[in-house]
Amino acid sequence: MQYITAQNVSLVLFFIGLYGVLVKRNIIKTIVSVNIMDFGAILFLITVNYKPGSIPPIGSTEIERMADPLPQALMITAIVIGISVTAVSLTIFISLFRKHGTADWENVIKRIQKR
Amino acid sequence: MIPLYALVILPVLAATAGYFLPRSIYKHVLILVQLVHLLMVVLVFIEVRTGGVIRHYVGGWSDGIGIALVADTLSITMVLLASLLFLLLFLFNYGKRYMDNIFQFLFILLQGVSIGVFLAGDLFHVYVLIELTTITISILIMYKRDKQALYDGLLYILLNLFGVTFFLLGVGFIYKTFGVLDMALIAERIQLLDDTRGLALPYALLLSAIGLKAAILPLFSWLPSAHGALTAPSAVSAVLSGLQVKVGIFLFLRVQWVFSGVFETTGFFFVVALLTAVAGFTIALVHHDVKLILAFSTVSQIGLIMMGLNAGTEVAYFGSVFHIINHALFKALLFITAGVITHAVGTRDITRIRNIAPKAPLFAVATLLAMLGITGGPFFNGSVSKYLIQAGLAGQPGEVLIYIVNLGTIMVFVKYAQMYLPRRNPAASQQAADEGVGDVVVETEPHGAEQPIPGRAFAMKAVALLIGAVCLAAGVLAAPLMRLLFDHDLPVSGAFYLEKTLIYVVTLAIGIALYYGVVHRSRFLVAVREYRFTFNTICLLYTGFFASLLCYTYIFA
Repeated sequence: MQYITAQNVSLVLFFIGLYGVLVKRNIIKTIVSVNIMDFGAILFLITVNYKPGSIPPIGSTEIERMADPLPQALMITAIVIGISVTAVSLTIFISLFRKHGTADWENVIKRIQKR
Repeated sequence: MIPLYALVILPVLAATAGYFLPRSIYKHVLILVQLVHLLMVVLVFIEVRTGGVIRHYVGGWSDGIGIALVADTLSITMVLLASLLFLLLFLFNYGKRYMDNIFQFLFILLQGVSIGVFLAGDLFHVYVLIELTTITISILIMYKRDKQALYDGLLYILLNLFGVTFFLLGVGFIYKTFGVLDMALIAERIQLLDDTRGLALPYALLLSAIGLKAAILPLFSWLPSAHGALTAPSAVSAVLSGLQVKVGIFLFLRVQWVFSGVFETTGFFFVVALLTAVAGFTIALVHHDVKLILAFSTVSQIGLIMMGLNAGTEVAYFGSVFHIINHALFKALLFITAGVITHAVGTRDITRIRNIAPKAPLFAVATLLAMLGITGGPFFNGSVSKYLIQAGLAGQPGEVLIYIVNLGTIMVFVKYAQMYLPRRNPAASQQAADEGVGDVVVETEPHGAEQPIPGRAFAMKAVALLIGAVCLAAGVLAAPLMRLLFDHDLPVSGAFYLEKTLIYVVTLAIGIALYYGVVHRSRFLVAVREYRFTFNTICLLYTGFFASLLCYTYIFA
């Protein structure tokens, strides 16, 4: 059980996402896989300086017992960015699907070249 | 004294505040804002050159916690270049029909964000701004929304999102090791580490993401579909090729500086840069689409710049930095003139564009100026920077390689210069059609169908000629310019120009002979033109690049 730490889980998540990006031809699955990678990286950063027993840095917490506040502040930003990029790529995907009628990277190329 | 964050947020705030103004007023407001911005950048530039590096912490936090903005000689020069280029391209777009409020908003937003990347002092800040440029550019690429624009946009955004997750994970490892994200502090603390091998992983993670942005060898497959996007407005292509790849190179310099003394990877990157340069001009020779030729020529020039940066000598370094500026100027000019010329002729197929001089005389002259610049014609800016890169490699085997790369560039532009030739006989074009080269999309938009916006032609001509003149001026006045920008003395004399002219003429002759004698006739690599990497293949190449960089860093550096 001692191997199941947040950092190891985050790295495993990252590589699961990487597998999805490399192997899956479906565009939706690509978007999902890239997101899994993104969350892996975010989880890694949040837990980076975590010591067991530390408490959230809210209000007037003692500095000694407080968890490192900087990664938490940064990762809020990263999560928001991840959501917006995902939203934009899903929007583009919907238009692409309406135009070419396929969710497969290779079929999209074939249909573009045919025209 | 002007605070540095003003340079970043002024364009963003102005673009947001004026968004609901009527289109014609908004346009003039933005031009005014850009002029003010350029003036501010010049003031900050003077301050940096007289008073040294400016560091600014947003929010009044102490070192290492707040968001740092840094203006040193290199970054403020890049900011100056960005500000100038965005202003010129915005003016070029003055009378374009696609210049609605959303386009103007995104264009100015991109200006602020790109300048932010150049000024950013910490890694997380860089990450945020890179993501912002990704979103903005992907929408700008698809702006005309037809044919394959959607595919190009989706490929661009997902590939960059994929690459930037590597960057974020690298930032995580850096934070884990050092507890800070400020690049100057990391560079200090890195010297205190006993065992630096563990840093190989974050180093490879960061640099592979930056390599994707800079479009070096296995990672450039996204570039043609974005820069050469069939439907992207030419000013957008000019910004992408002129500035956005330079963002990658700039970050490469920054991160290499942070890790200097720990990892010595110049050998690896020199080889990669050489392969990039060769692959760039080879593929450019294969294609027939004007914009794709220019896009792949960018890849080849990136390779040249990276070769200079990794040569390990100061002369080559300054040559490369100067070439970054020069390339931004003449490639932007090439893209905007290509846009005008293809529009006037009605096709983007280089084998069918002929005799442009009478059709668009002024743009033909501007294209000629830009071509002389990029091929390193005597007295043009390209010749000085290429000479410096070459002088920095003198005595190494790399010197010969620069000649080969330059020959390749000349061959590409010998091909590009076909557009000046008189119309060829119908038999030959029939033969070309049989070979299946006629598959390049013909622009269907009829010219002059609507009432043109006043000032349109004048703005386009003035900007094109101005950039062309700057190319020539930067070459003739290279020595004072280098002293002004980098405080670096240039070893240039009259004999230098004579020698350069001779070399240029000889290389040009060889280039023409090789192109029309060998490349033009052979049907080699037609398959390359047809072949397109799928998304999965590009990602696989990316992961392979990351893995090999990691292995190299871990074992050799």
